[in-house]
Amino acid sequence: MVLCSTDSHLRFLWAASRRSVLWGEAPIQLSPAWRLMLMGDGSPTRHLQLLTGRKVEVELVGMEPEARPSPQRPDEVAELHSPLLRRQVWLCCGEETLMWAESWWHQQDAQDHLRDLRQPIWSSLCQDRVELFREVDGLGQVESAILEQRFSVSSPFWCRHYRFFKGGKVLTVIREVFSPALEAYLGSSCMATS
Amino acid sequence: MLLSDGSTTRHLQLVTGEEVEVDLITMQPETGLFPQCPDGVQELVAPYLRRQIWKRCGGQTVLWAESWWNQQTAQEHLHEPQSTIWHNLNRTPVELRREIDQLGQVQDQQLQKRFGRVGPFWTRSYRLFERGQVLTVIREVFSPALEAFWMGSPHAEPGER
Repeated sequence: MVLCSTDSHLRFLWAASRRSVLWGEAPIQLSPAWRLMLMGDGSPTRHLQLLTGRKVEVELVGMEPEARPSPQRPDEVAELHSPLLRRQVWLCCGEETLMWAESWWHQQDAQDHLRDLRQPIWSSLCQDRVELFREVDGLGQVESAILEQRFSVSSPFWCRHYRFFKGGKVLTVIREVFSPALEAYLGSSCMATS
Repeated sequence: MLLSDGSTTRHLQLVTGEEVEVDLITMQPETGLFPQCPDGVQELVAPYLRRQIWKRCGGQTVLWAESWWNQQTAQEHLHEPQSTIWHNLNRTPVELRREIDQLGQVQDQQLQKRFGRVGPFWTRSYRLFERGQVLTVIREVFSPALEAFWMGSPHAEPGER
């Protein structure tokens, strides 16, 4: 399936250093609940399910070979072997779109691990009882007109990326952008100053 | 925090903004299992080892944890008993699956004394899998002191004593 106009045209307002993200040094203004969501090493699908009490559903936006490096893709994508595949999805709970995500894969790995394209990656991996190491590498805030339209909220949006390791190698690099609608469950992302 | 499949140590560090420190209570062989053992311990192979710790963040005790291991596996994985399991495992990235098995509330005098709060306290247990086998079974009890960190005011006085 190839659906075009998949580019979210993210414009980064700022990005935290990789070192600070790896060490879990959260931006001071970020509330603890949002820190867990953005910088935790748990599964975001599981977290969304726990927060909303609803099943997470995936709307596949695109899944196509990546012939040329997409603009602003995370540096860590270079650790994957070609040929690459890029998958883009919306993650929804009920009526609400809570997240946009894109992932980069070696094409064969994607075929091996993403058998049901309408399932979140985590659900696919859980079914196979896959053991993974997740390392959160990036955190920042972005602007995007396309995301604004879908989320029905204006920018900026929180964004992060991480790597999944399997067999000592990077299996996939995933970038996620979170809808501010999550504040209904997590409270304000900005910590109240006392 | 309680039902997430992320690492407790990383989550504590993120929530408190402080380094997680460990006070080792005991780490000793156990000849058998007892009824209060967390679910899944039966899947471990004897001889057993049981490790009990307190976790502190910024001087406050935020968690009590016990983990059950096969003795040989513990030796291979816990090079620094004074560090958290997560730090021990992260010396070389270990690929794991975490399965949360139990969630509940407990009442215990020793915990009450150390936490400086009255119970009940939230508790959970989970299994860590490596290469399809149970690596360790962990039970954790959380101090309500975390509520203050969660609200962004870590030095608030305990509500009830």
